[in-house]
Amino acid sequence: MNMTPTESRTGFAQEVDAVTLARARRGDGTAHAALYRIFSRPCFTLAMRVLGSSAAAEDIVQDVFLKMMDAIRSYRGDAPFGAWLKRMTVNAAIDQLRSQRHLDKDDPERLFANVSDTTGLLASDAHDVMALLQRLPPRARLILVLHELEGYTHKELAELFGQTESYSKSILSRSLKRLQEWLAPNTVVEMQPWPSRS
Amino acid sequence: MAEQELSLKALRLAALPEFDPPPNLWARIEAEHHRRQQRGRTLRWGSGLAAMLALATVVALAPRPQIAAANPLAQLERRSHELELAYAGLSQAASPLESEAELRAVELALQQAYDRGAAVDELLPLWQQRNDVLSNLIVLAADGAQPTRI
Repeated sequence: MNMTPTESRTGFAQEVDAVTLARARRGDGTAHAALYRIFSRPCFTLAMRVLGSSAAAEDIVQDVFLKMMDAIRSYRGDAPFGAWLKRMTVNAAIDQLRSQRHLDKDDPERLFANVSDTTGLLASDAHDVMALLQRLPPRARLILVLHELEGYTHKELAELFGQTESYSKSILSRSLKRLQEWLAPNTVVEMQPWPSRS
Repeated sequence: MAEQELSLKALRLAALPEFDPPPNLWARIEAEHHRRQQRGRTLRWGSGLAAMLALATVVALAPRPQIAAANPLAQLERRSHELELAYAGLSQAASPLESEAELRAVELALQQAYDRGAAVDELLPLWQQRNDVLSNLIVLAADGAQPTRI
C-alpha cells in the first residue's frame, strides 16, 4: 500500500486488515465500529481544520461513516481504504461549505478582499495555527489544508475544484503569504525542507 | 523569501492539533444507520405490497374493458345475461303477456340469425332489442304496472 508522508501524519494511512474489510463489506456492525475506531480521529480532525466548528465536523463524520456503511460493498480496494475514506471526507466538507455558500467566490483577488490584516490579532493567536487558519477564507483554508496537510497535488486540487492548477497555486501562495504576515512580528521564519509536490 | 518556497512547515507554526470526536458520536451514527435501514425495509415492503395490490387490481379489472372495447357483441351478450338473471329473480306474475311474447319473438329472430350465419352488424341490433325488452320487463315486474304502447 502506497502512503504519502502526509497520510501517515493525518492517520488516513493506517492499514486495515483484510478480514475486517471483508466483514465490513458484508455489513458486520462490529467491523464498521472497528473502522470507526481507526478513522474517526483523522476524519474529525480534517473536518475541524477545514470547517473550524466541532458541530459541523461531527456532521461530517456522521455523513462519512453513514455513507461508508452503505458504499463499502462497492469498495474494490483499488485505492487504500484510508485514501478512499479521506476522499469521502473531503467531498463532504466541500458539500457543506457549498451549502453554506462559502465557496461562491472563485476569483483569488475577491477571495482575499475582505480578509483582515493583523488588526484584532491577539498575541496568543499568533502561535495558534487553528485560530490563524480560521482567519483565511473557507476556500483558501480548504486548499491550504488539502495541499499542505493532506498531501493533495495541485493537479488533484484542479480536478476537485474544476479549475486550473495555477488557480490553486495562486490561492495557496496568497494564503501562506497572509499567514506569514500575521506571524511576522512574532515569529522568525526559517525555511525547512518540505516534500515537493507538483 | 520566494513565494514558492513558503509552506506551513516553513512558517514554523505550532503543531496543528488533532481532534477526537465526542465519545457518543458512534452510538448516534449507529442509531441513525439502524433507523435508515428500518425505514428502507418499510419502504421496500410497502412498495412491494402496493405493487402487488396494483397488479391484482389490473388483473381483476383490465380484461373487462378490453373485451367491451374490442367486442361490442360480447358486451351486449353479457349485459343480456345479467338482465335475464335480474328478471328471473322478480315476480313473473306481474309481467304482461305481450312483453313476454315480444321477448320470445326477439329470441326467435336471434336464433334464426345465428342459424344462417348472420354478420355481427345484424346480430348487434337484435341483442340490443332483447336487452331493451328485458329492461322493460324488469321495470314492469318491479312496479306491477302494464306497458303502454302508442
